Amino acid sequence: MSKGVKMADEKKLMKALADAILSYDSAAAEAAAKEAIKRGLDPLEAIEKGLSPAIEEVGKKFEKMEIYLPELMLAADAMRSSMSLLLPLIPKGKALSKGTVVIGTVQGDIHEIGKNIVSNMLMANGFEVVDLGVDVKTSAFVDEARKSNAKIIGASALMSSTIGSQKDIVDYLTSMKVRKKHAVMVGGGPTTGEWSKEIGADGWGEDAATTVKLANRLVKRK
Amino acid sequence: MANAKLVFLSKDEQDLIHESSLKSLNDIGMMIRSDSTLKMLSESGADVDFQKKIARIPEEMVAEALKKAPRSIRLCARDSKNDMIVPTAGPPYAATTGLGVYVRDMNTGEKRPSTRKDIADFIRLGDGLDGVDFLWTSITANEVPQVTHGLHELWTAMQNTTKHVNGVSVMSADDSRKQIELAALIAGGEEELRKRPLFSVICCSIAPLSFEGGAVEGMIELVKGGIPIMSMSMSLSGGSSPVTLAGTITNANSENLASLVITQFAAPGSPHIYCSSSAPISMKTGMINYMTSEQPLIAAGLGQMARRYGLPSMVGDWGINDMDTPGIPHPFTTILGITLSTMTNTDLVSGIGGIDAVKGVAFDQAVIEANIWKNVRAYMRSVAISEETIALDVVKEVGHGNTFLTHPHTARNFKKELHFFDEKTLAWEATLSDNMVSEAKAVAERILKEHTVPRLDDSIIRSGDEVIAEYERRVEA
Repeated sequence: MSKGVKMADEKKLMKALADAILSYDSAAAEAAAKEAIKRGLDPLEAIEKGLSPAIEEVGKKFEKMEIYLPELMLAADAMRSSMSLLLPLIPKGKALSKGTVVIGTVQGDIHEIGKNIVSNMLMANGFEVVDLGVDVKTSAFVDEARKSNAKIIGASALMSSTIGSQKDIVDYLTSMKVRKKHAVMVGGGPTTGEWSKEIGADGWGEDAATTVKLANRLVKRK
Repeated sequence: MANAKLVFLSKDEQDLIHESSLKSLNDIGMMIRSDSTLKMLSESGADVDFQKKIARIPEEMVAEALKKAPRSIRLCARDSKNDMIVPTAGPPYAATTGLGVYVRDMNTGEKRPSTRKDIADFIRLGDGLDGVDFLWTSITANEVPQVTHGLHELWTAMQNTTKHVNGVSVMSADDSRKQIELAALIAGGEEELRKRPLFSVICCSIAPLSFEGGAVEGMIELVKGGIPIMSMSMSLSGGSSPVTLAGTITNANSENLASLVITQFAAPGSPHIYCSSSAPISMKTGMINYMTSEQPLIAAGLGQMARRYGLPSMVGDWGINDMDTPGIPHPFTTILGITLSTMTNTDLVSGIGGIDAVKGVAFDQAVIEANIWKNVRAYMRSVAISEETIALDVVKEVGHGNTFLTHPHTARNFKKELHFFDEKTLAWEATLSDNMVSEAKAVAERILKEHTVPRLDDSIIRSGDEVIAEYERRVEA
């Protein structure tokens, strides 16, 4: 229990955070986080007991096809609204992130819808996500991964003509002798599991849901 | 002539979509990541924000572009018997799928990255199939440098068919220049190629309302060389366009009009084909979903818009097999989807031979779909409605209550008037995947063994290879 916050109040604040996520409401999520901070709720507890169970519930509903991508994305947006206020208040060393993922659409390709879905889903599932945007140079993926000590690089490509850049990322990591430090996930329209294996990537995300599962596996890997 | 067409939009609804498209281009504008293109549009009357790379295109420019665009285009082939003139009065012309990245081996079922050898075989198979009228370059040459993959694909395709080739890749103005040089070797020079364009190229905008720099500059280079382009919009409901069908149709229409403005101001009168490959995204995975009831309706709306403008179109397509094995995994949805999406006023369609939602190709799948298409297009054939075919004189001769079966008019006309389904492929339909795939495989094997395409002169092939090699050396340097 957070210091100085009455049990009844704490429950109410937690419920407001959860309700905001469950009703896909970013403005409410932001307001609930502000209120929680103002009332002295421990930010780590706010995330762990308020937000996380709610986003998990959203994830389960999605799996059961009770809700679809639009609701899922809005829930992730709401989650981000709260998290961006709460996370900076958590002392270093108590970080609860599963790990950092550097993500982007590869060089020569400016398609971003798929990448954005994955980015949001990863964030909603407890990953720290550095989204480099579109048309990202191979070296930029690797530089950012080294800088932010990312466990995973996620490279999206929508065109048959640009998926070669995913291989470039793997090759570049190898040539820099840091291949084992960063797992590489590939995804996007023309990619396949075979392609991922062929280029020596660590896994293929067929869609956003499988990419999250893949990321969970990759961060557990030593 | 009567033709069955899917009519979706009323005249008023077409007007609203047209006016909304004009408003979209004028108010929201297009983001174009090419300064030279922005400069050309600015000089032609568009309101350009060079910083944000947004061109707001006024109504007058659209009207001017529509005035300049040609109303009839001849898509030529190495063998002029295979030329296609669009718009067509009858059923659309059909092409193979594209652009996949792997090929499925017919014998082992193995999926492997496609190479030029696979392109050559797949194109030659298409050349030998009746249901295939022209060839998309269909699969990627994975073994060549990424920057020249499109050139290798085009060059390999053109060597292996006497039908029209439709390229699906344009990366830059340089790339387009080389495509023209390659085709000119076969046509007998660039001026000859301009008169008889042996290939055309799909040039995509990126929905919503943007153009990648290399692609748009490449498109301009192509039309300056007289090469027909298809301005493909992939407006994906709920993803890259509003989730509403009206919003999707309007977005695809707006992007097509923007492409038309660019081609007609860059090269007035250049051959331009209105084009879309639009469908909703899956609300479960976010991926493009062709297997929906919305896809044919979107295509129908766009086909009507193209006809309204008097432009030839390629708005119907199918990506029917979403499994990675050949067959017809969802018979009802598949056949209805193909039939309706091609009955949309479209002049060109594509999709033959794709598996795994267009990620790969399978030779046996191409045979199956070419056969489906031969049956489906029967529903779209031109039927003469005239005093002669109404045949009141024959009715008078036969008289009340008698039979027409024995009248010479029936014997003379029944083969012209009635479509006969091929018994063998009807049997395939009954067995769906079992006999269908094995028999289609046998057909594919026979065509690959027996069907030959006249070889180009060795000197032409050598020159083409050198064009690509020289480009590769230059790019690498």
